[in-house]
Amino acid sequence: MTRTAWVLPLLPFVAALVGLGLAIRGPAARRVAAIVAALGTGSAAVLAIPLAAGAVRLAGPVQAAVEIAPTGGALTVSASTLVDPLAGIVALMVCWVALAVQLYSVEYLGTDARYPTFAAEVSLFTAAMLAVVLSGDLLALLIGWEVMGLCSYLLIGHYRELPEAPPAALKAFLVTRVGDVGFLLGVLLLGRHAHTFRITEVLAAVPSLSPGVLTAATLLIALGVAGKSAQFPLHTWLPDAMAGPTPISALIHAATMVAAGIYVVLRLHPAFAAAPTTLGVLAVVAAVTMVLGGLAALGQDDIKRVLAWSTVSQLAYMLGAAAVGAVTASAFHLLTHAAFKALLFLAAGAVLHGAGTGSMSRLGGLRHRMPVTFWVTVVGALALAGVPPASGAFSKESVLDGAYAAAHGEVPGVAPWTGWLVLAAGLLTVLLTAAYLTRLLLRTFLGVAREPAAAGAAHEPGRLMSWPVLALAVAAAGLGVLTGPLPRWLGGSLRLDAGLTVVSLLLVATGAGVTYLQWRADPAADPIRRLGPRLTAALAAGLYVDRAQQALVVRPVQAVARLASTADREVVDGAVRGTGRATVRLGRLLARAQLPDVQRYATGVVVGSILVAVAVVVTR
Amino acid sequence: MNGTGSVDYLALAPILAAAAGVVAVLVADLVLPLAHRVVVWWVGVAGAGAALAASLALALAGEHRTVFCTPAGTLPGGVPAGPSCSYVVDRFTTYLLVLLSAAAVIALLLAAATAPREVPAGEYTLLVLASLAGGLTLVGARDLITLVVGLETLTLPTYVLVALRRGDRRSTEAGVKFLLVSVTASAIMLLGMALVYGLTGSVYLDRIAVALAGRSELHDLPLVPAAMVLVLAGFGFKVTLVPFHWWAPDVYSGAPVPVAAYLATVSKAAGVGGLLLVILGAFGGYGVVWGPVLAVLAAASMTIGNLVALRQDDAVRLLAWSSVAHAGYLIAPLGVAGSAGGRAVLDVAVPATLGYLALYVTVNLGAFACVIAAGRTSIGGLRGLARSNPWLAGALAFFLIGLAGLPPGLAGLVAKVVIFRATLLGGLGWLAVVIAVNSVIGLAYYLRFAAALFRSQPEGAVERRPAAVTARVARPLAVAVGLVVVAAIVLGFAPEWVLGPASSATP
Amino acid sequence: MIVVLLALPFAGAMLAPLVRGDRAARWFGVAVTAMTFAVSLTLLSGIGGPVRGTVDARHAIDVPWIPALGVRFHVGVDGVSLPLVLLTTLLCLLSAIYTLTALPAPGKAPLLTCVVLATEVGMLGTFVALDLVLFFVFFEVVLLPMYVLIAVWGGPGGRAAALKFVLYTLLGSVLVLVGIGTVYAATGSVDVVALSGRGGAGIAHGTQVAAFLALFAGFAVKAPLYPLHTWLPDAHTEAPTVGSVLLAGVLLKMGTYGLVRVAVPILPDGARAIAPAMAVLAVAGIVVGSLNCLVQRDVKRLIAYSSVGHMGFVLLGIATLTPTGINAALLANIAHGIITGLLFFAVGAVKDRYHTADLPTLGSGLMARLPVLGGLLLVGSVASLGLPGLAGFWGEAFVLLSAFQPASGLPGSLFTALLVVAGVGAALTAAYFLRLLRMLVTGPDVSAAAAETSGGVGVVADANRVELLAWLPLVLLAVAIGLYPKLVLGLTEAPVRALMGVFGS
Repeated sequence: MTRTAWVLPLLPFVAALVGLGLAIRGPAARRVAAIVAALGTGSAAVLAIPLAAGAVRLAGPVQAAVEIAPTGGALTVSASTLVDPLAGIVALMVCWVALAVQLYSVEYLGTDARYPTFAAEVSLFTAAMLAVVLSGDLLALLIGWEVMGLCSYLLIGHYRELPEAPPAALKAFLVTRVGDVGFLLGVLLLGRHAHTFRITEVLAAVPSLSPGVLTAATLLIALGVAGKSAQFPLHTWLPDAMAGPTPISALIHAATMVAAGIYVVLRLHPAFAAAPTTLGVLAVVAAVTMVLGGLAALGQDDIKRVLAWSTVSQLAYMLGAAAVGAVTASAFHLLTHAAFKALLFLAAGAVLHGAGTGSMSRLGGLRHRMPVTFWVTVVGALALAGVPPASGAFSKESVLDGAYAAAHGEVPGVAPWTGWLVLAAGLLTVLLTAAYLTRLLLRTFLGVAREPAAAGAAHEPGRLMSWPVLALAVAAAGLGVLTGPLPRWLGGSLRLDAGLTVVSLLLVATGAGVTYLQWRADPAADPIRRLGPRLTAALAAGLYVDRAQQALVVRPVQAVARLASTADREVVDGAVRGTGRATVRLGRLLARAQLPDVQRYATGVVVGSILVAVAVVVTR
Repeated sequence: MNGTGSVDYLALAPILAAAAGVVAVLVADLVLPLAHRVVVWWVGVAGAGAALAASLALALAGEHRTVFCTPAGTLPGGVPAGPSCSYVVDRFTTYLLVLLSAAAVIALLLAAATAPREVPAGEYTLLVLASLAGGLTLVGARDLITLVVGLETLTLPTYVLVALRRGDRRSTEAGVKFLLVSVTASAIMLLGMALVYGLTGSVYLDRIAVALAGRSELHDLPLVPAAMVLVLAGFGFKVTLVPFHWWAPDVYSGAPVPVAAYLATVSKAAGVGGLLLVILGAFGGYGVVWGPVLAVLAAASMTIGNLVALRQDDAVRLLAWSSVAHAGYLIAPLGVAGSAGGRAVLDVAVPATLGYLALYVTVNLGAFACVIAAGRTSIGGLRGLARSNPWLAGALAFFLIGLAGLPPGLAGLVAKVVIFRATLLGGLGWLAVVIAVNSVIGLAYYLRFAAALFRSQPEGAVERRPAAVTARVARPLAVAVGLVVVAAIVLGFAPEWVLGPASSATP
Repeated sequence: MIVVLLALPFAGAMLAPLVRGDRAARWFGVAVTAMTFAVSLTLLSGIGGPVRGTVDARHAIDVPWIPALGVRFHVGVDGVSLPLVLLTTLLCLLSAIYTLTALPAPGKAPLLTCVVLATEVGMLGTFVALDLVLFFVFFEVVLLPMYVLIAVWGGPGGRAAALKFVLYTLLGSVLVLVGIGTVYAATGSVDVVALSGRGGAGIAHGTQVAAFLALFAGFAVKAPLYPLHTWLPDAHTEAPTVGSVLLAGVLLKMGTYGLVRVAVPILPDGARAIAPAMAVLAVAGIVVGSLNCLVQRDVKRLIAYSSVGHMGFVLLGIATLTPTGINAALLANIAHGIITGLLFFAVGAVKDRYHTADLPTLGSGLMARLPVLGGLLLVGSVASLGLPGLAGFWGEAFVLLSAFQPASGLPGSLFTALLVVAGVGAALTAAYFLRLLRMLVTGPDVSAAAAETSGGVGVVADANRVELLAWLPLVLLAVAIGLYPKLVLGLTEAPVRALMGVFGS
């Protein structure tokens, strides 16, 4: 099993290296590149099955380590694998979603000259995510953690001619990097006090750590998690990241990179659980993000941006679940979300591919032209909205139930108010989710085409794009079956409360119903028009968090940088240059003081001697 | 001198060789027809070479030789004194004998090329040899009279040398200036010596030391330090220590360049020798007095010398100010006298000064030699030298960098290390920092000079340059430059050859 | 073997001016640097195993040089110095290879080869010297060749920048000499091994502080430590590519190496007294360097300022006075040498092609025009911003780790505060590199300089084979050390532990 764990990230990594080599040969290599990429990810996907199957039967974690970096002190960093049920299952999920994305991309980027580079970068991305999932060392984990950041940077910037792509890529890397600095500091703090970076040993040392250290370390790590998993206030990069090709959105922003943050929280959960302050902060962050994401999703015009905000909101569910101690529910939602969100993104990609735009105000009535895409989108939407029997219903209900349990003080170490907070936000988000999904479906697929030209050209995609989507649709619909075995594998519990389910279903119905009624009144218009122009603008702009970030962080930093540069030039270097100039000037002055003629030389010598003699006699 | 009657002529051999050279040159100059005057140079070089050979022989023999001794007696005030001698050949003497005569050989070679145009051969050779004889006398002198005789014999010919450039008003003017200032300085020094004699009743350095130490009534007399300062002033003048340096730039730049080279090396080295003899031999117990004085004067010299050198456009003037600065470096180690370390510190400081002296003389002589070989003294005029004569430009740059104390001028670098070591060992941290800052200022102008050599001439300036200066370097000069380059390189890699003898040369 | 290591480039430097013809001189340079590199690789044998004493120098040679001063020709390598020796010989070789096709104006290959080899002698000598005076001599050897390199082959402001460089760093090295003299005055020894072994015993506290201050100030100029850094941007902006590579790749390390080899182990009390100030300045350097980078228009200047930031990390590591910190500093040193070497190669190649280093003029989309060069810049940038998995990460991460627990006697809370600020600096590093990439490498193909250049002389070529040969080793090393930092740490760890024994653990 450990051998599989070593090999698993290596397969796509090798594919990535080969692919990058091919990329130098340009578009001519696209066929080979596609095969290499598919082989790399595909073989990993196949290998992941026995790994996961074996992992879920494990009594305790299995690990292996090779030292790669002694620090000179007692600490050391090792390249290591740590296989436990969670790792096995998530690795499986990553591999298969990645495979779906790889296959889908072959057709989706069929005319793109830079496809070979793209495919190699996706492979590297997959490898990095697998490294994170399987790493048993917190610092070594950072390699995969940040290589993902790099890959997302490269992939989001793939369409370099798009004006919005380069800034979006920059933002994605930078914002997550800011979080990662916190993550690094947190890991270092934890390692320094636990005297190890190995996850199992760190967790074993948790009881012996002081609460202050634990709180500080987990809060710092949470900063990194917020960056990677797009939680408030570091979520701003994710909606912009839609500038990348759609398959990438599916990969990065549904199943892998953003999942990494949650995954790390789950993996380190005992440490978080021992730091109540951190849990409280996480709950608040999750609650805010949930609602914020739902509201913003409601205001978007672009399908992909709706889905992006929805991701922000759904990730907050997972984080909220973790904050209230519902670890298994969180992992469950991670898995189902991976399936249905990948599905929704790939379906959205099909729309983009077929109709040439993702802007809902230009779409409409696609149901007839793209029936398959319509239906799989419906399946995804049902799962996302949480309508049984689609998978999302089960995972989300278990999250809400976890919060409910915490609210009633049934989870030790978790303050009831956090439970209430997560529960309230979760329920509100259910309402919002139903509303924005209904809006999306209605405005994209139903009604009449707003731009007949675009709609007329719309067509269903080919097989390479359809099959992965269909497979994901099956998963999105059916993953609810995990409700039974998952607690057994992960060692937690999943509960579904009937009353809570009814409440949330009512909320779904309300959200969907209101939106539908608004749409019915005028199918050509936006169902949220009744909210008024100012509010819709605010929703579309993500409640201006971005703008606040600009004003509070970016611009001050730029101003300070300008100031620092000026100070460096004028003050620090000015002092240096001034010294030089002053020296030269002093030299000139002294040269002028040179006595002009011989009498004065003699006088100078005499006076000099006398002065020195007097000085000596006086100072004696 | 109620000596034993027999004189150890071997001890006086270098002086005698130089003196014999003087006579030989005189004869040759008279006898030889004008066309064969060039032979005079070789006679002169041979004279200096003989002095060098004699000095080396004495140095290698390493024996302690004394001449003109007086038996033990009692000084005024009832202080007993051992036998004293007027002229002593010890390691200190031989060290300086070798240095002076070797430098004089080079100085003679330097003039050989310029001779027909600028300097009359006979006079120049004669005067240099005479002056050298004075210098050689000075470094072996152990009484005030012999010291003065040596010093004046060293100096008198240089007045003429400075004014030797035919038909050049500046040269004549410089000679007169030098004479007047020099006489003033000598007067001050003689006044000081007279006071010392009056106070101690002896002219022998060792007896003066005994008297100053033995007679407690002298300890609090302000006249004692005053007299010491006056004596120091005389040597300070020779060494171009601030504030006795005023003459140096004008005289150096007015004199024929080989003469300036001679003044900056042989004459200065002899001055340092005399200074060391007096302060250590006679005033050794009064380090507390002259130590701080020398430290302050050293700091002032290097700072003022370097600062003014920053703005010089004439190579010789620049070297003159640099020579003022180097006087400061030279004397700096002696500033540690009187510090807590006592005599042990001086045992490092004096070799440091002597070692620095030899390395400095070598490098400085090289710099002068190259400037002479280049045939121009304005830095602007030397621009682009690398194009017309890359080897010479390379050599000059090498020496300038050596003066700055930077590799590849290893000799200069080692010299810098030596004085830092000595000053810090004496606990003069402040002086070390002053030296540090000064070496930075120094590099600025040496580098400016050196870089100019490698920069191309500005357009249009090429025509105005006289054709003669681009001509090949005359052979004696080339030999001289070559010798000094080799010496500087060898001493850079094997500084022990200088520092080793210096370390045991404390008078 | 070490004598050969020094003699080869020395002889090469002597002979290079005599080589006739530019082509021959360049190949001569490649041959000599290649041989030197090979010799340096042989030094790897004999490294490792248990460390005896505080400094366990291997391949040591110890003969008298200037007995009058007690100075010996004492050289040797250990795990602390060997990585730097290898980095030096490698970068010199790569520089020589690079000049095969990209000889900077105004040519003069024999002189260029001479100067590069002379610099190599000085750098190698500094790293292998085990006698303080010898160390100082080599420390100064590099000044003049580097001056010539910047002044002759530099840009329009080359002479002024070179003069500033040489005067400023000379001030630093004479301060080092003051420090060495002070140590000698207090101990009567200039032997690094012996002095490290006694660990400051017998040197009064005040003397230690004064001597350390002098050494520290001297090395800080070289490193450079804020606010003594202003010579660096000027020098880098004007220097030719080879000069920038050697300057950033090796020369700066002489300062930090000096601290680790000379100042800290010989004067532990002094180190303890100055370390907090050093840490504060180091972190100031990280932040100020990064902030400056955010607004630079000139690419080379930007990379130069980034060096100030990175060297700030190195100095912070040293200031913790812990084995972890020193190890991290040494690793960060090497990583910075590799990565910044690569960056200066790539940026220099861009400047050579478009005749400008001005970001707005260069325009974006280099990746579209010259994918290989753009890719190298990308790799260099992400490595420099500390991406885990590439060389730059580990050193700086471990520096932060060491700052969590500085040596006993140092103010822990100060260091904790500093490490948080340093973390902010790390984030800023990402910001400015991403800004650089966005302005230059990624994005749409828009370039005024390219339009001008291609309008004049035709299409600008991407990296050629020779350039790739010069650069790929650096990329590979950055990845190799990034994935397996033990490559370096395995060498340094045990010697550093022995070296820092006097500070306790």
